[in-house]
Amino acid sequence: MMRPPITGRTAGWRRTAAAILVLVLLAAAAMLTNREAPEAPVHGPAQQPPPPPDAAEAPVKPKPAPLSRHVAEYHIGVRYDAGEQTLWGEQTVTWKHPGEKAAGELYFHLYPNAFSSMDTTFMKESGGRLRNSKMKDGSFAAMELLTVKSNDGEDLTHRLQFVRPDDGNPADRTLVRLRLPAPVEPGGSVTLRMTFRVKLPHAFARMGTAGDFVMAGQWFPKLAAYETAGTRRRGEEGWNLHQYHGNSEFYADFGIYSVTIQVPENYTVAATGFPVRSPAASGGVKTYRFYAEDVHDFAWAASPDFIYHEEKFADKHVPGVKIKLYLDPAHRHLRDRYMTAAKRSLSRYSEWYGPYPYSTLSIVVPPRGGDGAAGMEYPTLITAWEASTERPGLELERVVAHEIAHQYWYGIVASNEMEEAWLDEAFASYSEMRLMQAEYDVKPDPPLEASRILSPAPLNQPAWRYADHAHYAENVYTRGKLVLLAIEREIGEKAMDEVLRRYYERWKFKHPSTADFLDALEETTGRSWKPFFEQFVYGGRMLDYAVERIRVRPVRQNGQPAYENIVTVVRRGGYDDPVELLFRFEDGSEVRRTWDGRSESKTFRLIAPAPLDWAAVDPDQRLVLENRHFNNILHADIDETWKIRWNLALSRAVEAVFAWMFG
Amino acid sequence: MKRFLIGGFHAARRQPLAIGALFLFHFFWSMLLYRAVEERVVNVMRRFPPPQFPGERVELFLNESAVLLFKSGLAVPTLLTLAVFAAVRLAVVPLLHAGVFESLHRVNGPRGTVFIEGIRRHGGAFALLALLRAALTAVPLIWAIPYGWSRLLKADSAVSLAAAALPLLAGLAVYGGLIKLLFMYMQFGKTAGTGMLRGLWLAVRRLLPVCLIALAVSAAALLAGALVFAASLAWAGFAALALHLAYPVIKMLFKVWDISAQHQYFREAQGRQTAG
Repeated sequence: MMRPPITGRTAGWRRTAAAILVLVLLAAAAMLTNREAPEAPVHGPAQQPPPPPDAAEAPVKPKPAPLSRHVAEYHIGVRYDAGEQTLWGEQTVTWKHPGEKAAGELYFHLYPNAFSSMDTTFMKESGGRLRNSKMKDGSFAAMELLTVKSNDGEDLTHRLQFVRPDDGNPADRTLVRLRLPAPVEPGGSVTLRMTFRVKLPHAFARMGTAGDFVMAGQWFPKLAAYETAGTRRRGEEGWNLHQYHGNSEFYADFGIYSVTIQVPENYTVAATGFPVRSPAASGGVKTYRFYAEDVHDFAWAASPDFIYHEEKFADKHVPGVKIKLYLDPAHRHLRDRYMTAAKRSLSRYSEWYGPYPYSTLSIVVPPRGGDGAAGMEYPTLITAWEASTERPGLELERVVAHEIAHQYWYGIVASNEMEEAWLDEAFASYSEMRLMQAEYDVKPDPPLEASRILSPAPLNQPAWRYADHAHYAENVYTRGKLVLLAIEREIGEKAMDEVLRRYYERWKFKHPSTADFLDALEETTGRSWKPFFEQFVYGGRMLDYAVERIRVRPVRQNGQPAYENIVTVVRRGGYDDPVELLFRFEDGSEVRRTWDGRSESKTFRLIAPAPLDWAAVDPDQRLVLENRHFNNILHADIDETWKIRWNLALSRAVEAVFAWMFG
Repeated sequence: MKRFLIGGFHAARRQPLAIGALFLFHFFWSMLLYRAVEERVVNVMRRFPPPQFPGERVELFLNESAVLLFKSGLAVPTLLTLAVFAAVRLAVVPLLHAGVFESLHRVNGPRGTVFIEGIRRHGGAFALLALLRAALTAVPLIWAIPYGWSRLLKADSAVSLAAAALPLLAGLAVYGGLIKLLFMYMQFGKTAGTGMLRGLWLAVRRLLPVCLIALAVSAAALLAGALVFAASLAWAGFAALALHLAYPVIKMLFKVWDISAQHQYFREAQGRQTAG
């Protein structure tokens, strides 16, 4: 480029001309790099996939320092064939070795293969259902790796082998190993080009179609997570390898996603991250380009029916985020409820834990029938409940609060959802509970929720070790939430927020374990929580204190008639300290005592002028983890008259039924 | 129709053995049932939240009990106990009825011998019929229980609950009553030797008068029962208990009256039939 002399009027004119020339050149360069996507070729049900759109280039702009370690970099181009309900994809993936030992193989999750037959591990464990949605007969799904090539074009497809480290099930193809031609040195990287095809199911277990709506979750061949030494307290570094189980969710490393998505022209696409430019439409096909970094997953949804609404939101705690709502038309009138729930959640969580670090948050509302895709979290994209009722209750706000909480507990603090599911589910449930209380005045009912815990089990065990989905949910969501609430009740809300803030600060964009949370808790509170964790987190205990027996007999005290009341209280579950007791006497007087709750039983002897009316352990329900409340109270005696009345009434009723049936 | 009722009453009066046998069984059965019920009522009463606790405590108690009853094995011992009671009833009562029906059929002869012969001749058939009757009566429960439960959960108040429950219970009662009458006529046919199906057919054809007779006796029995019930509530204590246990004598009298009134009608209707 010419260099104008810096003198006089002629110089000024030349400067302007140069500036215009620079601008024109830049514009031309921009137009050349932003090429139109190639026309989607028409094809029949052929074996060869038509070329998907070119994988997008990462946009060129000065970037701030990455928030996470970018282990995996994906450039994916995918085309959605609405007629065949199939995705045709091409991805270039680069794995940057984060460890210290040479790695000779890579592992990929092919999650959709869990739905390829009734014999996969997922189907055998779940019996073909997840939560309330059931697999539609014949609506199977699969992910086929068509080709895998090295960066210089060497075909590596024959080096693939399915592995089943959890159960050896030969019908399970959700984890595949690729033996590399040459090992990757520590700090080095390897790039692969793959083509793949995904046959989508009817919306079930977080992916698939429902009418024209399509949810693409776990839709691309995904690198398994490689844990460095010391991550989650492991000794040696290595891959974290698990198949897709009926109860489990996912786990992967942070990185960059640059994704081009082609859909029919009348569709709108919601995705992780942000669009690089406006979608381009031509020849019946619309092409979107999305980019996301510092995330460990990428999901998208599309529908011709979405009603789109976006708002920029920032407040004292939220630096700035664009909330993008993709509404099902049936919930058109509920737009403000979704937006408000999102804003309140972002604001509170940013206040309690840390500023929301991404520039977008997308909310997708699935249509009626899309319950298989509902209530799920992905980095910067959440799905709400399906739009099945015109007047939903607070469950609408609740699911938004829960899934946005997952942005923190799962998205940013990237715990291992397969081995320690409570770290994301219980934490999101707890945050959701706090949000609903703070913003929507919903009072939690811990005794009621605790009373539903019938089979407590350890919290930090692999998801598939639970008996079934109900058992998994009961523990990982509800019992875990109650454990966190029990901690909060003991140390106070402010201290609890401090604990979570410390845990978030230390482990954001990293992979923590339960022990790491315990450390944050102990550091913040300055005391040991090991006995508590031994019982209620690593162990599967709840609390069950019961008043077992009352004996009353008349005695004399100081020459006056009195009563000796002997009350036996037992501990049937774990222990907590202190345990309060309340004794009420027939003359209306009350006595309170405290017990350290350690021993298996404790006997109280109270001499009083009146006999005991009743005794209660934990009368104010301070023990959050107590799950059998009916045995907390015992009457010393019962009213004979009422006893006979109830007996007669019930006997008569039972006899009437017998007479009716047996004559 | 009055003559069937009066005739039936007189026939019943002449069956002290039948009434006595039925009474003895029901007396001991009721006593055992009362004990079983008492054990459970006392357990619940000893744990029920006293009034010093807020109302939510009672709600928690009910919710927790429901969870434990339906989702854990808490209900199993009680269900087993009920099953044993049902089994005993199915085993003993048809035999007693066999004796009663034979006794009504054969007016002459020593009551004791006739009674025992009735058991021997018809006991087996009556037992099978009782089993079949129980099964048929229980059929609508397959639908009624889930329906009733869902209405119970949705009920806002005791009034709306009653409004929903009464028609359901009335319907079940009527259905059970009809089944009982039909089976009774099958038992008459067996006893008379003319065949169970003939007896059934007779009842079906003459359903209206049969039902009217049954309603008349039921009305009288209900009145008596209501009086006794009111008395037992008002008195309470030991007096109520004694009344509760002695009441079966009255009930058995009504029961035998019920059967013999129908039997009078059966005899005449069949007589008319065979006469042509």
